[in-house]
Amino acid sequence: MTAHGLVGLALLNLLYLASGAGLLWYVRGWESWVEFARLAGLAFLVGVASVGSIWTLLLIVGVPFSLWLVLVVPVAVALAGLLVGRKRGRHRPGLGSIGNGSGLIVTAFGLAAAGLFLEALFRNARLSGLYWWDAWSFWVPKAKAIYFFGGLDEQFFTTLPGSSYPPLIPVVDVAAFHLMGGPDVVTLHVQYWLFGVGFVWALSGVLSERVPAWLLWPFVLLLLVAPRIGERFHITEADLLLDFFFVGASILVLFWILDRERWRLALATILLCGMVLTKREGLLLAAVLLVAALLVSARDWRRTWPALGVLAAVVAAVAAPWRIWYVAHGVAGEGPSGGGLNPAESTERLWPSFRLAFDVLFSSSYWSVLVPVAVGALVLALATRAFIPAVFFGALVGLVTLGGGWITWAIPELPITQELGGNPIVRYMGAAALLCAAASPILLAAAWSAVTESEEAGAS
Amino acid sequence: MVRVGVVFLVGVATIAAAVRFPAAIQDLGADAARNSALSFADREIAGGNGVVADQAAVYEARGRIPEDGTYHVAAGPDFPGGSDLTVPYVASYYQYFLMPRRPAEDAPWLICYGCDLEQYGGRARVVWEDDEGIAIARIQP
Repeated sequence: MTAHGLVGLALLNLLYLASGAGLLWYVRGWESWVEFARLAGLAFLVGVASVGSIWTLLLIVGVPFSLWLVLVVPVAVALAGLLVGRKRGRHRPGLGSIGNGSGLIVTAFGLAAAGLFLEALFRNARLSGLYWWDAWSFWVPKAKAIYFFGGLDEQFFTTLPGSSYPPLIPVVDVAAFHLMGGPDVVTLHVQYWLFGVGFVWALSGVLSERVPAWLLWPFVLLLLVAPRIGERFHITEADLLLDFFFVGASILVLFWILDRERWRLALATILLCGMVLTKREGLLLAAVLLVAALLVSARDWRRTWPALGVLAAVVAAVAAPWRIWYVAHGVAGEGPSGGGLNPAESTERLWPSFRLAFDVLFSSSYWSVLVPVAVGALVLALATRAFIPAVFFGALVGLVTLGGGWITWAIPELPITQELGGNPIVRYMGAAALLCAAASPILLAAAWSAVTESEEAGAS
Repeated sequence: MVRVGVVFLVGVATIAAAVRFPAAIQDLGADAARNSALSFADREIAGGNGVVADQAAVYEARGRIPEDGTYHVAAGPDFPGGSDLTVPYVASYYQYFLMPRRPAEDAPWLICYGCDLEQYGGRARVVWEDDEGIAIARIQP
């Protein structure tokens, strides 16, 4: 690890933040710098997804991946967002106020505790070696191939394990290599730590709009200390970044269904584009999110479904080029080897596969109490007739779990085991667990405010 | 009743986080101490330490094979050293470690893990070898 590497990474992540801020300025704007500070995590995540997607698409069409491309794309996105936002009449933001009261004290305490944890994780990340099989067997080799050869080198991209996986992760790794001055696979862990920091910031910032601090921070801290979530933020694999995009998009889609603020759907679309270019499971998770959104917005389908249709079309258009590339280069597809659509196949694996996904979902050794608490929150939300968030998250977690069972069932080579080297179910189900961490405070806040509103209505 | 339920669930989450928090910080601190105590080679080779059997072999390969060169890793099934992971995964690890050098079946460089050098009919000139049964050879055309 060198100072050059760390300074380079800082610059790269400022570019992600700037490009996301440009997009946020274009689609929404912000009234004050305090409001921007609240949404900066979301801007960062959107910046990673948008810039990462553009780099990936340019790489697929054959544009050489150089330092200039790494610098020009985020700068162009940031400037375009700022200029178009200005044309739309965005006002210069004021300073704003951070408020006061007990919520501020809880927030300060939560920030301090989260900061303490993330600082400890940084000390771990900055000198970590590359230990994870997926990381050294294909994610980082793909990144090195792009770095050294400037493009999707046919030899490596058709023969490495996971050759059908889309290349957004290698692409963001290469961007880090260029800014660090070389393929420094040790300092690369700091980049993934920064993705984790950005996600925690995005989650707390976006939820604080609807969730009081005393309901929010216990869940933020719980997700950080859950054995297979926070402590793995620095691991240089695709799973957690995929989950960050998925959970971010899910919250934005739910809030869009609740308040119809169109900027939320625009940013959710960008995160979904990032998802389908990060990992093949991204396609499944995007489909699951779309189904849940269609389900809960069915009552107002004339207004919501066309917008969701546009979202799906954009995401499909972004997902297509990589699929065309690997088919054209003779790489076996992303679909399950067992077909996966005929329930009459491998019937003996059907129940054990779904049982496995269910067991992993409720395993406290992976996710602490995140899932049982989320189930309790779901029950309370239903009891207070907060149907939209309850049905949305219930459907989403249920469909993700069914998807996990389907993956195991549809790929007969996968043993029915939680063993990490044999079956990806534990890594895949991280999406459901992280979703539970985000869903619980939303559901509890909805239940709490429903009771308060009903008491106020009764009193008047 | 709903409010009691909300407070209860927030309490459960708070207690679970509070109980786990010190141990998580301690675990991360221990990991950080372990990472910083590693030698440069242990940290750079990292996941390969359980695969390559001898760190010197990967450094020798990187030092001897030119960046635009090609190499082939041959692991004999009876290679006595390393671990259970060595024979199935050593070629994969070299592929990661030696980039931008490319693997190729007919490469002029051979990284031999207990392989049969006799099959090259005297064309294999060993340029480096260790006590574990690992050798780097130049294959004459």
